[in-house]
Amino acid sequence: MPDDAPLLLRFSAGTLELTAPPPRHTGGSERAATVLGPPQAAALIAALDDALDEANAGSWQWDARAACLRAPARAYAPTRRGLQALGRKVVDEARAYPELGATLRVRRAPRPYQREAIGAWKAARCRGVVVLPTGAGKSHVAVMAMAVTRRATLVVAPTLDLVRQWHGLLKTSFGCEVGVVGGGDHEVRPITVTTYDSAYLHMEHLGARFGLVVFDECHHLPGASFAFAAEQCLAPYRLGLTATPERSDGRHTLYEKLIGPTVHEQAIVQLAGDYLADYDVERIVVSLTSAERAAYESHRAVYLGFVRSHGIRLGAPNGWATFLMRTAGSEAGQRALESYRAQKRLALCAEGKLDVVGDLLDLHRHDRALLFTQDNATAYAISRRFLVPVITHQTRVSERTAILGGLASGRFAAIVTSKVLNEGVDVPSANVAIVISGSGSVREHVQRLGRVLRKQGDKRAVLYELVSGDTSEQFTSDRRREHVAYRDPDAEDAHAPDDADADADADDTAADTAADTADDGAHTAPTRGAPC
Amino acid sequence: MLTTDLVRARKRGDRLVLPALRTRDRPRAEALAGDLLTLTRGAVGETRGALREAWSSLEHTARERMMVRGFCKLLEDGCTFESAEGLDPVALRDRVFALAAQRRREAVDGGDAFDPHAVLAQVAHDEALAAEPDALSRAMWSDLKQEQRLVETSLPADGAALVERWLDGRAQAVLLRATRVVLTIEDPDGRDADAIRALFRAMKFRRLLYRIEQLREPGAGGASARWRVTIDGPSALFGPTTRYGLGLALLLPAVRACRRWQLQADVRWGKRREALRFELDAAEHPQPARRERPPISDDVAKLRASLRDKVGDRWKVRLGGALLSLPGVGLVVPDLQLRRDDGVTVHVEVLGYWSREAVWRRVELVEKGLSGRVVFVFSERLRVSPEVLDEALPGALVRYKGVISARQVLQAAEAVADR
Repeated sequence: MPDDAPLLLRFSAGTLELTAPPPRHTGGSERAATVLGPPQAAALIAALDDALDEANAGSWQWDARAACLRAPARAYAPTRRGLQALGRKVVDEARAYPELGATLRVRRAPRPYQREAIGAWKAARCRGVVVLPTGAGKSHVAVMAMAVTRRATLVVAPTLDLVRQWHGLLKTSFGCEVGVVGGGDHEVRPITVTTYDSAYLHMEHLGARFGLVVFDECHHLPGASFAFAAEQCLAPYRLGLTATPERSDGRHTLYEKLIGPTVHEQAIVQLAGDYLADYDVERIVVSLTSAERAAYESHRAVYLGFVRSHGIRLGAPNGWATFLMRTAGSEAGQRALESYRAQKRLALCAEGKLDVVGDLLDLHRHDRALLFTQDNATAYAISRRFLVPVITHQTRVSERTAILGGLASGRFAAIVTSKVLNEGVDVPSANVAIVISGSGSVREHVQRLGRVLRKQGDKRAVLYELVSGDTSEQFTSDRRREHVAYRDPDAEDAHAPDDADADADADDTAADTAADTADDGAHTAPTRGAPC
Repeated sequence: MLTTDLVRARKRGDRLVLPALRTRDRPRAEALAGDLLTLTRGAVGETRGALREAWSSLEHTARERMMVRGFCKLLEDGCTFESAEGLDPVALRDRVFALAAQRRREAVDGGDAFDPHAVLAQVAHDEALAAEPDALSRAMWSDLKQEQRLVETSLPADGAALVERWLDGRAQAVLLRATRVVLTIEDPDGRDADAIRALFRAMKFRRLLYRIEQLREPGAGGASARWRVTIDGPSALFGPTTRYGLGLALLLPAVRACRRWQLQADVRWGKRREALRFELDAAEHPQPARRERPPISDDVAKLRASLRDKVGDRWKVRLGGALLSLPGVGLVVPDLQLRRDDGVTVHVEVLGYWSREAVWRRVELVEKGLSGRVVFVFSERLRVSPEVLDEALPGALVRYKGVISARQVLQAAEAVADR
């Protein structure tokens, strides 16, 4: 194939293929001229590697399985620029996204930091991550980005609640129908909203149809599976939004490759008061009943006895996995695992906590409260006991909408949920968060606080954290409060467990780290647990 | 299908091994499976929660726990649950929760304690529900998964069948974590063409890519043809990914339809996604329904018989024996192989009534450089002229009406053999 012959660029199952075009593209009839074999491919790869930037050099490879050159779809824009720089003609059959026909109907004056953020993003070729606290108006930044790029846009959000919320916002902002992929819907439109799970499943079909992709709560993206969705999408313009960019597995370094550089960053404390509600954090330590205490200590003795007798160091990097492995093969191990679960359940779902929940519901009967639990079973148990609406992965979109609407209007004073409302869901009127139980994840805790921080009038928000005293939950609580947002110095009086306990308590950390870093659909999949 | 959390696999060196179900343990496994089946069949009309509770009441040892969980998963996959008809639970919840919020405000503002039972009694009265205390609660939560009722089952015949399904399910669960599969297929007597075609169709349907190497030509001494097929997906070119694991796992039934195969998978296992090798073969996973020789189509059988009558000493006719692949374009799995006395081989694929598109795809394959000489035989109903294929190319089209003419096929083979 001659060096100046045009090339055909195609999107195929989340990748780009570069081949010689068939005769209809060259206008000729010589079949030999359409062959792109390994020798020509090697020369083209070398030329492209020289022409591409550092993040994309090495993307193109010869694929003997299909006799073509292949690259991840994310290399689309740099490749087009690179081929242009090389003076090669390209027949582009890859790009399948239209310009956005709809225009912005609702124009809101951006806040100064939103204007700065979008300016910095534009300066970075419309690629990059914007870090703003929850309630600071991240979604408005996305709407501004859509107005700037005017390309078909895919918004990827972690939960169906957020998909519903984005759907409403974009429909109102642009006055057009908005597609949804996920939660039983599969309707693709120039503006479409989907979940990370669905993006992972469908990007190999959808990846060419959008010019701008917005990754909401983008700290989910660098997980091994979800990162794949970003790789399989050819959108030249990319925006990541998050309040909590850091990941405990260190994979936040992948933002640069998958989305772009961090272009703008603001912390909660910088915006509290002016743009976010002021807030208080109150930790309420409850005591186990004597029966609970006895059961707790008994189960803990069984569990720790097994750990010690098998020489397992739970604090070691693979300690938790070792524990699970050792428990699998014996009756004693199974008893230890059951005891571990039982002591944890006792701490998370202590009767005293439920009494406090009742008191707090009375106290905040004229407010709007969000109650958070670690598992769905507890959320349902609280709903049945206190007669407050519950939202879990099982709650259908129409009922979720009605429940959130009921909270906003004051028809309900409280909602209980496990994890599905952890992130992003916009409940401006909510001013009370009650964390009944949770993981040791800092991110989860900051996001839960964020639910009540959206500014509305002179609202002052409060977050209650219920912790069972003298249990491993205190350790968990200390861990999740390691964030600048928890600025109450009195709350930092560290529980000082002895060495054995500290090691044993690391089990929570190990399990929570896994939850923190896994992109295994934790937000849409059921969480396990027995009701208290 | 089982999920990876329901499988206990062991690491041995760089291999991942599924513990075999020992012969002496099989009766106990089948008994447990049978008990679970009985519980499931008897639970029609019960809630999902009640069924799960019944399953959990079955006594078993710690070692059997994972197996029992696997059985339960497979059984639940075969159950159809439906929500009970009656009062709309969503509307009922809405009423109860709204009334509760109102009553709490009124009670506490008035210095009294909030009484949730009074709220429930009020709504139950308004809805004319039965006096029993659980009636309202049941109606309120009847749409929850655990409250759905079992209405229909499609279950394995007995405990032994459930155990077989579980053994297959374990292998598929491991393949969910596969980054690549290397399959060695052998066609002992050329009768597996349909099964092999189905296997490649399944790969195409799952958007998988493959590379084929012929390890052994069919020999005169009875040696069967053998191929190595490396299977993964487009993005696997850039590094190992389990993205195609589901597709690879779902290939297993198509693989099992072949009679002789070995499968070697690169898997990423465990939380740390450790790179390990996993192996399966036909001996461990025989396809019960295909243990006997698979039939070949009538058209192919008749054509083979007629060709044998006509070829004399000049040609030898045998079944199958080749996979002709043109990367990026497609694949042909011939039904017959004709070998001329001068050593030239011509393959024959009988397309019959497949589709017009199938014929055009083969024309494209020959035009673009398919390795090997091929004669494609198809019905005139597909309305494709044999002349569309250039006479200079190493392929020919034979169109037939009613019965395939062995004479025409032989003429085409002679012509193609000399190109």
